[in-house]
Amino acid sequence: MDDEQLIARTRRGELEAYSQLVARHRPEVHRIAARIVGPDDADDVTQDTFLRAFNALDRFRGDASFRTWVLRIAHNTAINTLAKRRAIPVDEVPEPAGDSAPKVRSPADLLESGERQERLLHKIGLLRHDYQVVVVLRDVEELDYNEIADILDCPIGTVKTRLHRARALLIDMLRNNTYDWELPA
Amino acid sequence: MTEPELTPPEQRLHDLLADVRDREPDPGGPGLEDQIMRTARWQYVARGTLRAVGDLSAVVAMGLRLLVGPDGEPRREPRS
Repeated sequence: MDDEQLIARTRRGELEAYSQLVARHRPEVHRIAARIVGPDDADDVTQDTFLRAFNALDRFRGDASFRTWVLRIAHNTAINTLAKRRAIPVDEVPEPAGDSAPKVRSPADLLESGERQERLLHKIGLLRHDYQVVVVLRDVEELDYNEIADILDCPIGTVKTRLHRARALLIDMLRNNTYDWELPA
Repeated sequence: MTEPELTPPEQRLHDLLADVRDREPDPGGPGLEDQIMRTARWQYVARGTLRAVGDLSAVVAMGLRLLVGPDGEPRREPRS
């Protein structure tokens, strides 16, 4: 059964249909939420997203797909979550252990066990929220530009501009602050 | 839409981000979907109840308005 049919059934009060929509889209919403707000808040963002969508379902007009619509709600919820956090100046943010221990670790160690991934996610998290989101949606999730523009509800040109600036900042941070830039990929 | 050609630093960044792409974050607690649906069901019932109470209040208010008139005075038949 496709999303439109499940939405129609949910509107008629069949909540089992909504539970199928949640099961279908929850993994992607949760994954993107985790990559934007981090794993600790991803459950809350996911739950808020699907409850907001449920309560706004009567206003869903079908201009975009349900998936795009729900990802737009997830994006807004994630941005609100980030905005509520205390703003920490970049130079006060502690680096993850991988960055602070290069003198006692060999480069081979640094390549192990996801430490590089931790550091990259950490750097992405230091970007402005709107930059962070485009990097996650384009460079990590690999969504296409049209889809990202729909989710962010902005023109494609804006998506490209943000992505260009976000990448430049990220490249600067990586060049200046980590060993990763020099290591083989 | 195709990706415009990446500059060498952007390509390097793209390669580095492969590590992040390859790692699936924790998929969330096993009870997350159940929790969402429990709350959705509760909200659905609450919404229905509130709507019914609202409708009932509107009917009562309309009845009172018919009985006492819009200015709060009891309605009087016009003199002939």
